[in-house]
Amino acid sequence: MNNSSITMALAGNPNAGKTTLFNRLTGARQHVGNYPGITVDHKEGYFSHNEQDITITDLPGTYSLTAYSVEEIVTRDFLTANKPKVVINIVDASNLERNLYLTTQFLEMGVPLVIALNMIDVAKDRGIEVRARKLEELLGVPVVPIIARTGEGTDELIRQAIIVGHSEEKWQPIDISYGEDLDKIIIHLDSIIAESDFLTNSYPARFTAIKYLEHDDQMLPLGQKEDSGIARQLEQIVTTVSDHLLKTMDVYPEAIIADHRYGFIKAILRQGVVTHKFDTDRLYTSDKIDKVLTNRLLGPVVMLAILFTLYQFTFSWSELPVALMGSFFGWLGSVVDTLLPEGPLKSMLISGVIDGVGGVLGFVPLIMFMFFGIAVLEDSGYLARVAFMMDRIFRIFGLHGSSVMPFIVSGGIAGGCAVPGVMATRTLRSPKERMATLLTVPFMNCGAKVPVLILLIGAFFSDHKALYMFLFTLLAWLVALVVAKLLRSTVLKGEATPFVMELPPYRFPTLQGLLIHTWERTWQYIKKAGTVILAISILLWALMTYPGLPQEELDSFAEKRIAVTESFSETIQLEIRESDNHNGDLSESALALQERLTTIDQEQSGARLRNSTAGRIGIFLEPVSSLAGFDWRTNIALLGGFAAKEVIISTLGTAYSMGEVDVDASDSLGQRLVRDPNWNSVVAISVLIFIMFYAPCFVTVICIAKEAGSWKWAFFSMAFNTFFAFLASVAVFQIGSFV
Amino acid sequence: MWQTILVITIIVVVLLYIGKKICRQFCLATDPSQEITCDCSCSGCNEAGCSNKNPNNKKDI
Repeated sequence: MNNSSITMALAGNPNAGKTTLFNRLTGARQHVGNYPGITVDHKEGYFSHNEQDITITDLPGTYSLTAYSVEEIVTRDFLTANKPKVVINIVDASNLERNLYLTTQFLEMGVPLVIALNMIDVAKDRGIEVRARKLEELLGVPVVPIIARTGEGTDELIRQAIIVGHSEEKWQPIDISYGEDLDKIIIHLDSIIAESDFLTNSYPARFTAIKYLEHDDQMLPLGQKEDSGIARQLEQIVTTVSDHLLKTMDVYPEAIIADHRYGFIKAILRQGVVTHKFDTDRLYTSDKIDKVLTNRLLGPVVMLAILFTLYQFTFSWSELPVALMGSFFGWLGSVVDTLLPEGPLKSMLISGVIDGVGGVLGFVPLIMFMFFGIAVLEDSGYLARVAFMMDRIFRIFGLHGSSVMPFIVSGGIAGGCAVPGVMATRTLRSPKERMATLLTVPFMNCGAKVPVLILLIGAFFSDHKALYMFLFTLLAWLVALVVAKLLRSTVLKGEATPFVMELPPYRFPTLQGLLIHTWERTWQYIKKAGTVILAISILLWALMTYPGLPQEELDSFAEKRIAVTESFSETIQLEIRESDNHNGDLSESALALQERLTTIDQEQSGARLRNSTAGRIGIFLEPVSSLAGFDWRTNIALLGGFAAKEVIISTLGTAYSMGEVDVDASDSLGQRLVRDPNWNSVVAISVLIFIMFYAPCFVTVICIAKEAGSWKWAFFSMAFNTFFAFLASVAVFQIGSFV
Repeated sequence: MWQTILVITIIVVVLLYIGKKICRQFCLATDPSQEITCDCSCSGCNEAGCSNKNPNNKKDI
């Protein structure tokens, strides 16, 4: 067997199981979810089968090859530009008729095809029996039944794909009849295209002819670019045909084409390919569950109850492990304090690394429980129902049903990330609806904001943690929708487009799947804390440390210490010196001296922090930020949050570790904040609101620029969000303080 | 003194690391294909010696 690498592509309808199969074959861990639209770009992976190296590409899910959406364009462009040796078309066996619509277009394109008949177990449960051999015979391409989730049948699938990949045959398109009238036109267009070699390097002539009849948005400009004369000739013919069909039958050619494709599929299925053991109108279990869970009245109530239960579960189960983590980092700090002599390295390790990054890592157990809960909702298929129910609300605010999934991916339930959320907006066809979604998804509570929320809610509203988390989640949605409405009524005015969403069946999540999903996300959080957050914490520590105090001030503090010490008797001074070495019990007078010395130390730390680069910036901003209740330390943390939101915790941890606030080494950051006179529950809400809505992190801003195709929108997002967040915080602080 | 030298070294390494991260993000913004190519190079992965493969993404079946 030829051992040179074979290129394969995985294509199929959304939620047909492409990414599941891709992960199973390559061992990769691309995100898989029980809802459509997970893959919006193609991903490449490598594996070998019986010593045959294979390069495989996971293409986005698509219903057709007509350029209506980005996924369809990505898929078609990949096939024409890369010409993979074989395309594995994954079809959902329980939904064969609709899935074969895309298959017919692959056949018309002539791509070397192998059909993976996925989810045969689900089909069987529904009483659907699919005869793979018969389907193979009728379509003329290999058909292999598989269960991508368990890997059943994948060996045979790859074996067949390798055989097809090694065959040296040219791409052989099939001809589907589109009725007497259109067939004549297609033959005519086909001959013009073939004779003039028009786009024949990329597509078969007949395929191009059909795409012209379908008014394909990508094919028409491509044709103009290739040969404007021929393109004009083809367009004229198509316009004449379209006008004629509209006048005589009140129908567009694309509708006739779709009807005939379905006719072709029906004809195949009726030849004994599919048999239904049960009545086809029978309600499947999923439909029965949906009668309750997506009910107009009951559905939203259940949705809110599930959300609240998720937070309740997260907070109650993680309380003990979070406390243990806090104690561990407290212990680690005291160990480093004992082992290392005074100096910048010790300060960096304790204040920058342990109090900074430790604060972020301390929330790992809580994050893990939250991700587990979200994985249950996702894997079961409930998240798709949330999107379905939210569609009606989204329309009121000028967004599209397809906007819901980017919101959820960005942290709509908490714990997502705005970067894939911004990328997921590619599924939106209307540029204005897409832009409105793109600019509002960063308002969701992503995984980086969650620990900050948890820290402040835990510190200031410890009796009702789940309730406050629930309310702040609803607030994020409300603000995102109101801002979207504002954008859609002003700079992004435009018509709404229709929305159709496929609801995947409910599936019982497997424990292995839940654990893998939970661990993947938790590991991402730990990795980020150990790399980027650690690096930024060290830099911020440096900014909070240098330049140190001028010599005169240092001398002044030293003099104060001497003066205070000398005001006590020699015996007390000796007692203090000995206690430094032996940690013995101190007399009342010695305790008083120690307290006064500690106060001077804290005053010196505070003066040093204020004099540092970060301190000066924080103080510079204080006249404005104080309107919202933020002191200079909070300003430093919020500035750090532009890099990544978790940095807010690490920076506060460092600032409160270095500053003059009364610090007990074993205190958690939350306890330190509660004791700080500059903080109270009103300030906490004001800070929380600012953190939730101010500029997205650096990576998200770049992603917005990339997806919007312009830095203008990225800068708009930074400026608008920060301005809006500040106004909201000022309002909350001023009204809250007044009340 | 040794603590100061060590801290300066760590800060320099951290600055280089963050600089590289920022560079990579801008590379990705200008050319999304970088995502599946080499580590951080705006010129892409066409240079000799660049495997263009992620070794963690490979498995025998």
